[in-house]
Amino acid sequence: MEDFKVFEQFMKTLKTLHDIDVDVWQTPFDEIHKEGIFRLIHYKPRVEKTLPTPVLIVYAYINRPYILDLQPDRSVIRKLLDKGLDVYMIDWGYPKKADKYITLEDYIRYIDKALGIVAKRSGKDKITLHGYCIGGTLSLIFSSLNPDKVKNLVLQATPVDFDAPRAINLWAKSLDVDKVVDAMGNVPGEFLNNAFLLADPIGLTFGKYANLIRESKDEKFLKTFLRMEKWIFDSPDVPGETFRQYIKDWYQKNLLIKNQFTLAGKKIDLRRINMPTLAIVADYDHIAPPEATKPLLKIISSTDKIIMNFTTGHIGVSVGSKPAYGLWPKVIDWMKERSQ
Amino acid sequence: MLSEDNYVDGYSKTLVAAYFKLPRETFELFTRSVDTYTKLFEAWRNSSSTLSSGKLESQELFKIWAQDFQGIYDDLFEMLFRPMKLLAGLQWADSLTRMGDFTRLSWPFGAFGNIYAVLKPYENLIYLFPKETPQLLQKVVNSYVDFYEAWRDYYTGLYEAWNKATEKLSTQFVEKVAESQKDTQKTIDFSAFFDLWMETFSKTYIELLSLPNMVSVQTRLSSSTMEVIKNSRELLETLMSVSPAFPFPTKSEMDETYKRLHSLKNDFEAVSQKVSVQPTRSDIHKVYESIRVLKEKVDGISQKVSVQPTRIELMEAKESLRVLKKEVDEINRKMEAHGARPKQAPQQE
Repeated sequence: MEDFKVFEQFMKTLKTLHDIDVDVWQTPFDEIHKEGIFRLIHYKPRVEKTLPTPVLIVYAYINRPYILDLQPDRSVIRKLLDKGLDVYMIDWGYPKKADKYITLEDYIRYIDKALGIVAKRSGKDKITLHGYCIGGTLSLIFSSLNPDKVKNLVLQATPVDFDAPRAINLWAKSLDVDKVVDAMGNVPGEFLNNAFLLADPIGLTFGKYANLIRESKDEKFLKTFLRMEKWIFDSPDVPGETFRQYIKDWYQKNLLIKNQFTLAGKKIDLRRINMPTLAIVADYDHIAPPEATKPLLKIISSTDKIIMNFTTGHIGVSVGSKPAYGLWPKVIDWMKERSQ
Repeated sequence: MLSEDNYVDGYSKTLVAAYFKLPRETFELFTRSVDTYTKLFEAWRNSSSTLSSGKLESQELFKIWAQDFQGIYDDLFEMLFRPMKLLAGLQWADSLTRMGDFTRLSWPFGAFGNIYAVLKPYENLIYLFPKETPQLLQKVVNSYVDFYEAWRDYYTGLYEAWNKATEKLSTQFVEKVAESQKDTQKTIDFSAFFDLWMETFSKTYIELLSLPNMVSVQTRLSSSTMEVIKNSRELLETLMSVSPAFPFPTKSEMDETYKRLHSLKNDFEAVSQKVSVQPTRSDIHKVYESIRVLKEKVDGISQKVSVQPTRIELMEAKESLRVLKKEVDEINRKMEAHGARPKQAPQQE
């Protein structure tokens, strides 16, 4: 391909990327509670009568939760709603400087508050808790403290054992986290972004973009691409004290899987988890590889527990277009059977 | 047909418009990828012309590509390296490192002498600075030296990997060419070369950045960067706070306020829980309502102090927090007098 053709292809693609308008998080919802930067939202049902047991989705405090509702044809939220589930979600917001002292305890406390609101609205004292990534870890902790409030537990790409030999784990283990927090306060989203990009610097900073030049991509492809770009670089800061706590206690000391993690003086015992549990793992997940989740199922005392494998990556579980994405109907069937 | 000027004008407008619309990182990485892609194409073209002139040795190819790929390395890592490069500065970083080594060896007299030499043009100002200034400056210099050494080691590690990947690519490419010549229908076109380049370099860096020695260098780099930031800020705050005209609070003052804010929010949360378990009565409803109003005030203060407040604004915020703390303590006392207790968490077995 001659130089000029490369340049032409680049300009053509750039113009299309500029011209197309993309929106994320399109499924309609209402904000039903707000506390500081945290809020609870309720998705408008897409069926006449929803199933009795509502679902509360807890995403991570890293990146934004709309990865679960990126676009209409790649939306876990829509899939759940279309099958009659009543869906709520916690949005952890964008921490500001004044939120530096937010701790893991505050996140768990808000899950409790949100769950109480959902329970009151639905008339159900037990709900389905669905956690994604670190949100799954938070859901796990909450469920171990309050097994009486959780009817079903869904853990999507959730790290529990942080000793899996992956780059992100190795870096976190060696990080002097006190120096980071003392220097920066809240840990900037860009700092975490750079760490994620370093997992494959050539592929993620060049290969991905070069593919747009190598061959023409249609508008549909570019819209999805642009939505993903928006999500990837829309990274909130992490409150300093939360960062200090979870890097030290989870990544560096791996206390959670050992049942030695404490929160506000209370020991988190994973054996107290006795409700039906579904763990969704992704084979090519470099943040929460299967070995970071699977050991959990040997520890919890649930008798109704299952692992479902997706042949994709950490994000592909939510937005992948491959046939593996077809596993979601099975996930939803599992949830529906236990939502009556 | 558009004139050349209109053509260029059109492209410029598209670039500017896209810059403002797209995520900043997407724009930068996409525009950089064009340059890198073009350089790879040229590298492939150079090697193809060498191929056509006769038998190709991988070492020969390596020499051609080592030169061709030079510009690509900096392009690829520019965005990731930028924070370090900004911190490292340009030529003056070398001078600072040399000065740092000398002052470290000759502290305190040499240090004071050297610092004095640097600040001589401003000697009248020196007598205004607090006495701890030389020590703080020494800390900055020391941390800067550590940072610069770590950055140099990190950059070297990545660059050595670059050369290794180029060598590996040369060997693999020669093998592929030899293979293709068995089948006259197969050629090493640019697409195949690009795929091979991507696979080789991507794998090299994924492996490199997980190696223990590289992780160790990375840790040194992040630690020393944080030390530079923290020490520089402490020095600056010490120097600035001498001036009565300096309007902004220090980071420690801000942190103290943030801590009080967070603690106050927790106090409100605790007292709200006590109120929520009370049987419904009009006086309890009034208490609930007053908590709600007070919480809104706390949120308002939180918003104000999140955007750089002046010293006066921070003092006002602190005073407001003190008053709010008194009010929540008062509500707590009243609730306890009513015999209110928060709901207990389930007991651990």
